[in-house]
Amino acid sequence: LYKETFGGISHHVKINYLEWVYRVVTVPLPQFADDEERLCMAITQDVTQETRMEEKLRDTNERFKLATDSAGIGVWELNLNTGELVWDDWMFKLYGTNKKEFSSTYDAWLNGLHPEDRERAEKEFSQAVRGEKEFNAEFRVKWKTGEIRHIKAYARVVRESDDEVNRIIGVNFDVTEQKRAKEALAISEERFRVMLENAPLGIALVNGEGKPEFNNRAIQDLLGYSAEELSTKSFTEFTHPEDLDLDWKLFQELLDGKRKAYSIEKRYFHKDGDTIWAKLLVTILRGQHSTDQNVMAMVENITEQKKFQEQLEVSEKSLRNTINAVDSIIYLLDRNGKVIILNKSALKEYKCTESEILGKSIFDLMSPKVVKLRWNQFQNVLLSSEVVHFEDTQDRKIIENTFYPIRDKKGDVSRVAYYGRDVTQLREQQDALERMVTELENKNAELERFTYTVSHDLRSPMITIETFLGFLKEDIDNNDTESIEDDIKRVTGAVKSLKGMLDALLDLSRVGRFTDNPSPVDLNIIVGEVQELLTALINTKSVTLVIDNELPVISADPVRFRQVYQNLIENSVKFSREDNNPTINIGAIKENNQYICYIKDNGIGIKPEYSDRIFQLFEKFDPKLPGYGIGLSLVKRIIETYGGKIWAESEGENSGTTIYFILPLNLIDQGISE
Amino acid sequence: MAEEVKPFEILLIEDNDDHAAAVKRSFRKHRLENHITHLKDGEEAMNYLFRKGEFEDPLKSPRPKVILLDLRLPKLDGLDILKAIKSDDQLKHLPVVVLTSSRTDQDIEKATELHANSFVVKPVSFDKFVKLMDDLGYYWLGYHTSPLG
Repeated sequence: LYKETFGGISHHVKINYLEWVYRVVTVPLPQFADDEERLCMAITQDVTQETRMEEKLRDTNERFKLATDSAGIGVWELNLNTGELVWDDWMFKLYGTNKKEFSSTYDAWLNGLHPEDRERAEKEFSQAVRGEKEFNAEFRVKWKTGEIRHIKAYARVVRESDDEVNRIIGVNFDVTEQKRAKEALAISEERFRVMLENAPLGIALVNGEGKPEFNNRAIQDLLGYSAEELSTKSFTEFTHPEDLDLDWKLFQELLDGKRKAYSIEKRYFHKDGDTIWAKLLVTILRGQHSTDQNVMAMVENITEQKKFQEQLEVSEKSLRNTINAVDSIIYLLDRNGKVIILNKSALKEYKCTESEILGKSIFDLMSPKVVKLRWNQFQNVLLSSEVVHFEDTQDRKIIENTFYPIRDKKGDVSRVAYYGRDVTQLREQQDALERMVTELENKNAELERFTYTVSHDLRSPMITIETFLGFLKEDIDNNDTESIEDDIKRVTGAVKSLKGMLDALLDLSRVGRFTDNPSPVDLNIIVGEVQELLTALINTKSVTLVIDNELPVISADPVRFRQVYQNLIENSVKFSREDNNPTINIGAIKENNQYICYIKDNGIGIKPEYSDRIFQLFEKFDPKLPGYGIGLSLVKRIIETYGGKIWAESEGENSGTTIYFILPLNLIDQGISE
Repeated sequence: MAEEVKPFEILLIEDNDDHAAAVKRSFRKHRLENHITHLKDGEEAMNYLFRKGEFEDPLKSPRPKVILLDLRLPKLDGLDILKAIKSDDQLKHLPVVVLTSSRTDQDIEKATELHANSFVVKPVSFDKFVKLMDDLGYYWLGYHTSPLG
């Protein structure tokens, strides 16, 4: 260095020596003569500190540049004195322009902004220049290409001295993406908010005190409170006391982290006091970053549903009570015969509990005697879709069965209802009633006939009396002795006849009054007594009486049965023939539940067409014979009073007659038991 | 030259002997007793009218001018006889007078339905009979008093 300096070349160098830096300036001094010895001047200056500062500054600038470059931050500086605006490379990028096109003035910057934002940006900038406010602005820039970017800008006024503003240095950076992300988030949030707000489901965010800080319209409507009212009330204030404990306990467990969610049906009180049934679903929401815990409650109004359910339960219960109150058997079957519903009577019938039978085929439980018919009829209902009625008998009980088809919405038979009624008693009563009606009708007819007969036949002798008393007067006036005698005879006869008829009627009327205490009556003995009584008549007519077999012992009034046999035997004797060894056979045939007694003769017989008439009152087969035509009426009445039946059979004239009468076995049974 | 006068036959169907005797006696005074044929039960009456059994010979069963019919008869009812008469082409024109014991008898209705021509409440007197004949259009008294009788 020095050699060169002596050679006439100056040097200006920095020399590092240990930790110091020296600036060395060597200057050759001018030669005044060629031979003059060259002199050089060297100045050494310690520049260690200065150098170190420079290095540091350079270093800082590098770092700053690196930082701004990598962060996409544009740096600018405006000289307020000259109006010159200096941009770094990034600024051009941010404004979508380049060094050549940019005129490096304040106005050029302003032109780069979005027209709508210019005024505001300028105002804020002015405020910053005046020192009123820091420049912290956000605005849009519009590129030549039309693209719009969002820019965030900070600037600081640099003061050279206290009252002089010389420069403003600032940075710009692009926030478009953040801005868009934020907008998107806002939209999304709004969307969510609107959705929550308008959701048909009640939704609330509940804080740790149980206050629904956020609550949507559905829940407001549900409870009748405004959003504000609701947000300051704990749910405990509008929960039904009976449901409170459970809800509160679950809520605490949720907060304590013991459970993540719960769901219950509970009652709320509406603001106006009404009880509201709701289905509540509560979940805990934990943020990803925060330790905040929000509880989300979803509430669905199920009051109507609950009411409907209650009504359904009530109606089901009353239906059940109703069908249980019936002592008939009721059940509902599916198409396979499996039991869906059944009543208590059915359980009793099949000797099982409800759980044992539900879902199982009822036909598996039926007695083999009835199952086939019932199964077939059940199939008939499924095929025909029509109600089926039928009766069957089980254990001596007559069951009236009905299968009713039950259609689904499509009209197909999906179920079949069964109704089974024990009609044994009813049938018996119906039969008894029918018998009674028939009996009554017969009685009525008989009574009518009786009245008719009585009025005719009693009138007859009175007409005779009336007529012949008239003749008698006439004959007395004419002194016709012969006729007088005849008149008197006829009047006397008529009076006698009248008296006889009245006595017979009285006798007949006594039979109907069934007050006699029944006692055992041996019909064999009765026949013996009658035979003895009629000995004279039987002998006169030379009739032989034959007892074919033993007669039963019955429980009845002996007097009545003596009348029966006396009249019948007497008739047979009276109407016997002389030419054929008159014989009367007496006997009884046991048949089913009754005895058929008979008195058979070989007498004059009767034409079949008269066989009913002979039992009528005052019906005289032969007017010439004594008597009033009352005997067979009396017999008929006695037999019928004891529940029996009587009739006559004859092949016709001269072929004999048989009178049959039936004695119901209950007369015999009683006789034996006594 | 004079027409042969047919006897005015009356058929009395009556089971009660006394009643029949009363009718006969009432008619006897007017010398009509012999024109009465008295039958005592339903069966006999039917045999007479339809000429069966003992009445097979028409001479024994001349057609009557009028029938006096009691309804209550043994064996066969008077109503059955009335029905038989009114159902028979040869007999149905014969006037049948039903004898009844009461004006309120329900049989009157039944007999009317069976086309009985008239009714008489017992006892049957000659006077009643004459009036009845007038009603039926028989001027039989005129006949009776005719010089040819």
